[in-house]
Amino acid sequence: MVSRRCLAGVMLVTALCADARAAAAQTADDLFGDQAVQRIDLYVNTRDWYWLKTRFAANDYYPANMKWNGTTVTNVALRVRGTGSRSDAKPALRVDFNRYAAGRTFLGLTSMALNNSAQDPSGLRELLTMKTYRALGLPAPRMAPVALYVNNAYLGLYNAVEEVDEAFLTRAFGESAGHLFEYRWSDFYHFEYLGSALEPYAALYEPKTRVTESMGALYLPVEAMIRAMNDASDDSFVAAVSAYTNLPDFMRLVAVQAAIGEADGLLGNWGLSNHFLYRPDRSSLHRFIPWDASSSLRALDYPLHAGHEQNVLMRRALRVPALKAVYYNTLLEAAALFDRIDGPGVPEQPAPGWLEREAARLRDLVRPAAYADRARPYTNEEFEAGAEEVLAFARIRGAFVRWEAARRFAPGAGPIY
Amino acid sequence: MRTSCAIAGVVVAAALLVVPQAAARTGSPQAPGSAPPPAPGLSLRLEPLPPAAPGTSPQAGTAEPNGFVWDNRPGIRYGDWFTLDLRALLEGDVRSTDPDLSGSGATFEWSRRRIGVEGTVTKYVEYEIDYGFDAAGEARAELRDAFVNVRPAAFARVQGGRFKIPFGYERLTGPRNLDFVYRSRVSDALTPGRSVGAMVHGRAFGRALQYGVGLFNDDGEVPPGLEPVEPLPDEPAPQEGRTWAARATVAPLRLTSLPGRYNNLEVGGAFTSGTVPAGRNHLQGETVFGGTFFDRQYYTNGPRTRFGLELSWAIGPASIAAEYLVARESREGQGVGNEGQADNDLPEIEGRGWYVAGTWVVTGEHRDGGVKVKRPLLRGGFGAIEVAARYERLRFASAGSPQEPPSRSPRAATIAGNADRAWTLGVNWYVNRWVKIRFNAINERLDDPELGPAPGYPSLWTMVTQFGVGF
Repeated sequence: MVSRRCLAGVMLVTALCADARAAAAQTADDLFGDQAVQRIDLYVNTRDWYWLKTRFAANDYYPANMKWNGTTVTNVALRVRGTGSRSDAKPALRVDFNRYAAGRTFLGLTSMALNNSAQDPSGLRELLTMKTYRALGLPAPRMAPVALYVNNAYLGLYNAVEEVDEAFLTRAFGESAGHLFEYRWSDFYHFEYLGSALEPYAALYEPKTRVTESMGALYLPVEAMIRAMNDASDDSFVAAVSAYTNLPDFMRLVAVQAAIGEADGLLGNWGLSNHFLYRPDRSSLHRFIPWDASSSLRALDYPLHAGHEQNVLMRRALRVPALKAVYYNTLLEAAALFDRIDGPGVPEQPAPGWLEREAARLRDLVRPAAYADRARPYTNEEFEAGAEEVLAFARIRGAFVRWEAARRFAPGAGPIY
Repeated sequence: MRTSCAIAGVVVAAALLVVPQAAARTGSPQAPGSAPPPAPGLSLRLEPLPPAAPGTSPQAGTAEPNGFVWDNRPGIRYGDWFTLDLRALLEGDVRSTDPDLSGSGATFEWSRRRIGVEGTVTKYVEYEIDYGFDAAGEARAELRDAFVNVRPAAFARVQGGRFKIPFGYERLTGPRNLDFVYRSRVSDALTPGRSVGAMVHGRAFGRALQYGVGLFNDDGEVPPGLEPVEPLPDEPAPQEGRTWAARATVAPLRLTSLPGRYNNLEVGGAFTSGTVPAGRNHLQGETVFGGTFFDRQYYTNGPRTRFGLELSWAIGPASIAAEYLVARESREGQGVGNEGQADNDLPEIEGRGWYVAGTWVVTGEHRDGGVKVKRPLLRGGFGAIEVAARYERLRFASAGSPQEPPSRSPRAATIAGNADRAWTLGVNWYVNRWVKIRFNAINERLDDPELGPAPGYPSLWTMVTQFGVGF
């Protein structure tokens, strides 16, 4: 009996070491590498898969094994994710690596999302938006196109998205011990002060870390931040709000969102939306982290001042010349990135810029997987039309941003009516 | 509510303390050697009832009154044609735990509250009905036992109805004869308890061999409340299969010339085989402390088998008992699948455990057939005092060699198992034939406290005093 147990122990250690070696050879950057369509296999009990799809509106977890690049991750947890993107035919999924074993990670990740691009026929918008954020130095989730197989059958083209969680925070900010909140959209909201009671703020920001702490510990700094945005005098605005958030960082993020035409972000058409808020441990400074960008890269002339008047923080920040300059300079930085040309151009033929090249490359990369995807709610023609819309945006957006930024936000520019 | 119940219990206990004196005054003493306390479980039922078996009872030669009688308990007698005895049991526990998670300190709660009848119809048929609560926290009273035992011959009897599946020495021991407040974790978790079925049983060679083989509707009442999976469209609802069970004990010393009080060494084995529907229906491990250390979260499907070995021996005022139990539960088609197969089979979940227990009656009464108090309280004595100790271990894990790191996934090939090791030290005070007070100090240690009822606490203490009144 003892020798059998010893043998079993040696086998397990050997297996774990082999697993570790296989994992060590790969990184999360490889998983989220968009130079190829990643193949991910999920193995789910057929009974569970049936109920997951049938009850796609619920957040029930189901066990599964996940295989990527020769490595099998056993005992992950799956659930349907999303709001408007929920679907029974092609469910968007969240994959938890640590739900059934505390502290467990895969390539340093505790979870990831598999987005179904249900609201984007091309499947390119979020990929390109997150790539733009990261290229401009903003903390944003990594993404990669994925051919998803379930129980050895091809399900469809997905996007693997790095979840905003402790692992992400560690990578982005060097620590993860603070308070992370996910914004829950329920109505139009623009940072108006909601009073001293904390419940309204709790309804807006769902805690994702330190969830068992008291309402006060969680939300008093959030309430104080929003109160400062609203109540501080013009003279004390920067000082008062800077105690709770880094204003230049905020201006950079909303500038990039404006440049990329993000219509459902911090200043989008539906008020505040699609972001996380992170307050590091023993700090009162809140950081904004973008999330879910399937509505960007649409209107070629999406205005750079969209949502400015409605949003309390943006309206007041733009009255501060230094912050307005940050906004303006970031717009120009984004436009320069969009139009950046690698190598000499061809005479008489304008070379495509970075954004257009990336859009074309990704379109060509995912096309076979998209065409083979029978679960998506779009035809091949709609895929091509959506991709062409993205390419057109990428082609001329840089010039539009420069022109519009100069008119509205350059030093000395007056108001436009 | 608890206070009023406690007062009621104290009143009943006081009444039963006084009854022996009243009985002494009215001249109805307990006949020497009459109606010994029931021997453990199955062996009790294998013996003929003393009044109904002429020649085997010390009372056989005395004239039994017909009509209502009160000997050891109230009853009705009509010669050998019909007997009926009323049985009742009331137990209340005062218990405290460390750590005290509820913050309420010591609490009182009623545990067993049962009433029933048993008796015979002619000398060939006996019956028993038992109703009530079996533990604190039960929502409603239930029918416990309801069976008829037909005994045409000692070696071949047939019992039908609802009764305990013949598996597990301690499980088959009635609550009045337990040496500790609680059965062992092993016995609680791995034995099936009651079901509806039929059993052939009997004894041979002067009770040196006893056996029972039965077929039952289901796999018993442990764990309670199956949770089958929801069937897919056009799929029949999962059904629980029947269970068959067999148990045999041998008492080799009965074939020797040793005196009766020393020759009751019994060793035995038992086996059950049943089928459990797909779902989170596996056996679970519960602490005495409260809460589970291995809860029902893994999918199982298919056969559940149990295997048990047992030993018991009462030697004068001392006794020892030990059991080794194994339960294995299949997980057919419960995996998540792989490249080559959908819904693969998973390794069985195995519950394995053992205990060793010993008792010693300090006041000298013999243990064989139960402690019969020589000098009851208020009748010139103090009752009987017994000390007891038990060590046990119960472990749940995936059977076989681990295939992957342990996980709490309901479809994990290698589950996150856990084990409970417990010491119990006890003192039993047999006040008289009806009243018994037991004190137990129990220390439990979990292999993985994080899966237990008090994460962060590897050592759990439970102190319990049980007041029991029964006849």
